[in-house]
Amino acid sequence: MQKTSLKLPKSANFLFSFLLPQTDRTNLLGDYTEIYNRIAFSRGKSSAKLWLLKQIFRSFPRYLGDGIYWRSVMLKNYIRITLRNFKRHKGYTFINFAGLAIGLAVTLIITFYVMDDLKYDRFHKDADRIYRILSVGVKRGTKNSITAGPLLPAFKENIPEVEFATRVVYWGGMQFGPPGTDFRNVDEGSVIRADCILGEADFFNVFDFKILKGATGEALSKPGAVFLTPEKAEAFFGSRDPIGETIAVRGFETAFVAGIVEAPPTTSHIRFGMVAALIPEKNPVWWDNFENLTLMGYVKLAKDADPQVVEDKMVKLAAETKFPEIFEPRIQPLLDIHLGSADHYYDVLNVGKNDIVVVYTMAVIGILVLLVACINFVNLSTSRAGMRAREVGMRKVVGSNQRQLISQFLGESVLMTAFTFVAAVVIVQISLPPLSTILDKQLTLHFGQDFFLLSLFFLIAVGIGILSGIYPAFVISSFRPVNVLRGELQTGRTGVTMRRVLVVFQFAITTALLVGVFVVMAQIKFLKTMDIGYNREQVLAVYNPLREGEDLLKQRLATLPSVLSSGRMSASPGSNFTRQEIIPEGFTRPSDITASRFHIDEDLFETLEITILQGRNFSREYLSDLTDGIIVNETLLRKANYTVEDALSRKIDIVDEEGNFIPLRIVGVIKDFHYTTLRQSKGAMMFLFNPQQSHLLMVRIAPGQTSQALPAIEKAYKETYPEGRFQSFFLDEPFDRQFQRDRAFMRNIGIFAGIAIFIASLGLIGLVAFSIEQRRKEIAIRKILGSGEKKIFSLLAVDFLKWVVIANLIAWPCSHFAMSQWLRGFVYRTPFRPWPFLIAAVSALFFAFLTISFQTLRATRTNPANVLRHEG
Amino acid sequence: MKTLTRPEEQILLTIYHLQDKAYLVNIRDRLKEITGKYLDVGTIYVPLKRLDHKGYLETYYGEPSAVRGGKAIKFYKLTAKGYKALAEMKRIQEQLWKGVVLPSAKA
Repeated sequence: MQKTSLKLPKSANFLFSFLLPQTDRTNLLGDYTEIYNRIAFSRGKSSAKLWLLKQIFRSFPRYLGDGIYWRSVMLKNYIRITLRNFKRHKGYTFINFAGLAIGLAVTLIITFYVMDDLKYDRFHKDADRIYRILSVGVKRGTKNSITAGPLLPAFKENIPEVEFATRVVYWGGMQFGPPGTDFRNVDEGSVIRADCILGEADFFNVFDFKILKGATGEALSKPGAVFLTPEKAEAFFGSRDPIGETIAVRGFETAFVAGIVEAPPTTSHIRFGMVAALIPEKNPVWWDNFENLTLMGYVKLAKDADPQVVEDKMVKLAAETKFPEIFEPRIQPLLDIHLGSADHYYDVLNVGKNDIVVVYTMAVIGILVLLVACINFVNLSTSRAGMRAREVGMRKVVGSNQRQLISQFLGESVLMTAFTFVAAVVIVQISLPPLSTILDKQLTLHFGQDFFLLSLFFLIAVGIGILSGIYPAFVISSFRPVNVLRGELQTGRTGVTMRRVLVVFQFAITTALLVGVFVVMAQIKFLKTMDIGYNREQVLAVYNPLREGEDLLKQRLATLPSVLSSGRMSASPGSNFTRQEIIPEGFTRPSDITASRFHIDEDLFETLEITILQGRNFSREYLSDLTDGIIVNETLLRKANYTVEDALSRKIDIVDEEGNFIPLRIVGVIKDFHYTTLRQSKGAMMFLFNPQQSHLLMVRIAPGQTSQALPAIEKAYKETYPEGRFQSFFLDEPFDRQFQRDRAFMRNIGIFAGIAIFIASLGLIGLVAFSIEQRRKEIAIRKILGSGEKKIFSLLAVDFLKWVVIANLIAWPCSHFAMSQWLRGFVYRTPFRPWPFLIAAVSALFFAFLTISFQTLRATRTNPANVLRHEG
Repeated sequence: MKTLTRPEEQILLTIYHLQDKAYLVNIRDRLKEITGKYLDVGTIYVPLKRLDHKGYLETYYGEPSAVRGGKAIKFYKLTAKGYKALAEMKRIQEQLWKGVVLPSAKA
């Protein structure tokens, strides 16, 4: 027909090579060329080109849709084959599946844990502009989370960047009830207890606690105004409208419900059931005095304020007032409070604070567990893939090309990991409620809220799938079918080194985690059994709200056979108490020495078994003890540069609440004892002889007589104060409570280390089973040639245990380093002993041995005839 | 048996008419003769491939030629299953059209 025949333009050819389906590319190109030629002949080359261009554009969606259609047909086939493969190797599939699913679940849970800590206080709209006022010691930089009351209005008034400022007082668990309630003598049923916060008018301007009903936040400037959370309001008022109702609140002259405020979320460092008006004039000594650091202060800065500039202004401003010169006001960002206050003193509001070190550790553990699970999965998948060389050979013979094989292997492992992801989410969903109690954290999984996180984990899972699929996909699909089918290839021998390295790595991680658990255990035990300077066992602390008649109570207690002694004290060790500046002889104000003040009676030291090193105890025989006697501890002497020997009769001035100097004389020196957390070193302490203000009665109970003593003490109390309510606690309880967080930390890493070991063991089972499978013939022949079961067993076991030992050698220095970092957070730390390392090593070996021996024994017990019969 | 889509039916019928000369370009030309407009190559290729996969068609290759840039022709032929499908379509069509009297276009 035509004289010349044209070829398609190169660009079109190029485009078509992508566009057209592979199977029919050639003849379709032919079809296009034919039509192209025809049009070029009849209407010219340019219109032919135009036609071609149109064709490319218009056909594109058709070919694309076609490709998807065919791919989905293939996908069905792949899924079918994958499922068949899973079915054929049930045990292996389960091990691989479970290991990764558990690993993913654990990592998800840890992520929730860490996220929860990082989310703290972020719900406030302007969280980045809110700061807490600290008082930082000028010389030593000790951080106190409290400040002086008048500073806050001064800041607001004089520093333009400070938009809002509020004082906050933690008022403790407060009772409230119907008007006219007498709180001195009330039965618990008729009153409600709520954690109470005192705040000023700006409280709701600084923070974003939503007022649901009633007055605006400014109501907090009215005396007696109280905001309740819905829960507390409902507990008291039921369905009645509480707004404007008068109530009685313990310690308040008048009180009325100004509004309902939403309960703070669990991620708030400030928690309350009730917010009440703070009226500084009501308590001028503590709340409106520059010299007393007693309350919390929060400010919100203007949008573009530079916090550094503001801080400088605050320091300058404070220096002009009577604010103690030994401190400087500093600001701490709100978002830093939850994790950045581990070393703060007087941080009473911030009860749920966590240590950033703990959060980091958890994050690292999470990553390690995920790593172990990944290694496991990759290891098992690749070792298994080696076994499928024959299948690959067969597929190639039948006409599969490498690309198809690669996508098959990749698809299989991606499919598998997608399943494990689903399983992991299910595990998390099921285990979160019980885990929330164990981890002491409210954790929940919301699919909507955590969508991003879940997608991220899905991507991680798929990533693992690709990673574990890549090796078999590329290596095995490149096998030459002839060699494979002839049996020349040592199937599964490929990648042995890599797998060994991975197993070593895996065991190193788990051993390191175990060492961590044991070191934390050792540290807690060390602290608990440390000599803290007094005997806290068997001591019952009894509250004495009524001061009169206390001597009577002591006398009554002294007659009880189950009571050894009793002594009075103003605050119990382990709780918070007053700290104030002292001026020892030879110092002038400011002395930069502060000490905790206790009021005691003459029997306290004996009751708590505190040693007097020098001088004497207080005594009623020396009347002057009541007015100018003071007993101090060693730390205070050290701070004042006195020695124990020359301390007696030295003078110490303290400053009272009105600013007057009270001269005192040292009559005795006691041995240091620990009264607060053992994370910090011992503080300076002073004791004044003031039985009338010592409302806590310490009662030492005779050993083994606790059950008789308790009712007897209560009876004596009731006889003395028929109207009073008996309230008591054992002294070792608050002491033990300070280890709660450390114990939780230990439990958490314990749980996760356990899971990591479980996963690693699963991996080992798989690898051992696989490796024995490889050596079945070898074992059989050895047996035939006369090798004993024991010998074969040790041959196999040693091969594996060797790697576990190497793993231990790697793990030890790593965990030693990590744990010494952790121990740095303690002033008193347990020395490193070899046993945590040895126990970790032994348990890792034990678990490895357990998994290996089961498989190995089975292999050595098999009749060699059964194995060799399959030859050929 | 699954019913055919309209393009599949048209293409199958065209292949029937073209006998042993049925390949993509011819099918396209013939459909143009009847319907009056050219279809895109892809629009014909996709149903062709599916008909082939469903077993209504069998294929064989012709000789390459210069006008096709040296590429062979892929011819299509009805299989027994293809004939059966056409018969079924015909039965359905006749049933559907039976007794239909349309107002003439001029009226």
